[in-house]
Amino acid sequence: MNVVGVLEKLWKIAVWAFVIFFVVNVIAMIATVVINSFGTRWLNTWLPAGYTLRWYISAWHEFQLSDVLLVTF
Amino acid sequence: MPESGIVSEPASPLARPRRRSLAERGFDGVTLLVLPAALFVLLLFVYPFLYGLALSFAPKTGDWLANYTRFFADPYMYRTIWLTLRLALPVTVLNIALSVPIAMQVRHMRHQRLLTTILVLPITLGTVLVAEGLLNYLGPHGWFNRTLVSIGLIDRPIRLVQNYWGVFLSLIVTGFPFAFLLTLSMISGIDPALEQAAATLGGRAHQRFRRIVLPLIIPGLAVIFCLAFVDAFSVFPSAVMIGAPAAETRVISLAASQAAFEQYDYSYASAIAMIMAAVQFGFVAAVLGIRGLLYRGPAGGGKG
Repeated sequence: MNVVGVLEKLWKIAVWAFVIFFVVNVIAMIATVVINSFGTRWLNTWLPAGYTLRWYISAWHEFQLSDVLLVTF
Repeated sequence: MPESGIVSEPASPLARPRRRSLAERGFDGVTLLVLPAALFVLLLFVYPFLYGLALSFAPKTGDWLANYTRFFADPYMYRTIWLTLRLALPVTVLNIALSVPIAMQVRHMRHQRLLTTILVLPITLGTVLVAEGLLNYLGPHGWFNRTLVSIGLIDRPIRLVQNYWGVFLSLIVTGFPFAFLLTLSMISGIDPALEQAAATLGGRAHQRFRRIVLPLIIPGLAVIFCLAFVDAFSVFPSAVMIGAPAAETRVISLAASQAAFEQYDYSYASAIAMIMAAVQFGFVAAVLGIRGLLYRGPAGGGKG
């Protein structure tokens, strides 16, 4: 294999590495939002201290989401 | 942009002469279908735009240009143009520079739909969720910094939020998929026979790209640049949430929003919005002007 062939392979690997890096970061970023929404307290650890549905329940009550959703639909 | 003229049917010889002469110029019954869309644009875009323009020339105090002189006399205000450009231009160039090589590889991929679905996610979820997610993810105790620290690449968390780079990255996260999907559809539209012909003549991948694909996609890239630039230039939620809205990411849309909703000076806010529109229009006109000098021919990338 000549030099150009090796460079083409390397370029291909670099491009795919970036795609994987980007996709992993996007998924991880979305995952943090999802996990955070179920978490109790999340400070300086890999995962929240505990899990709860409290935020969803209080958001539902506080903003009267049933009405809001009805209007949005 | 496709030059979508209305395709007129050949005028029937029995039609009255007046109708035929209209039809020859491309007007017939089908043309009427353009009316609802035109009305929609007129009511929801042209009217608010003209209203804002008129409002911007009716300041609370002073003569008709007072809002504009006020904007350009205050460095805190006119510097927002530069602060926004400093974000929007590099982001747009980087998004397109990343999109082209990736689209060149992905177009041969078999499970393309999986990748495009994942990439559509950030656009679908919206900038507010992305900003909120990045605030956690890139924060000093977020997964990104934790991972880098634990594999030993850095010994202290790097600061990526509440500054320029937070907004920069959030614009990449939402802007790259946008530019990429447009680029991919454009590159897939190029006739593969052109490249195959070059390959039989011994052209390597980089030569085929530089001599065949690139000249064909540059006009389309110019249009993508305009769309991506306007999108990035009007950045608002992420600049407030993960930027430093009082300092380095005080973007122009934030200045307009402050004038409208904190100082209740809608006239001044309209003037700022008009200045913002003028900057965007200036860049778009410049890019499209340069594009007009380039090759336009039958083999073009279709969506170019």
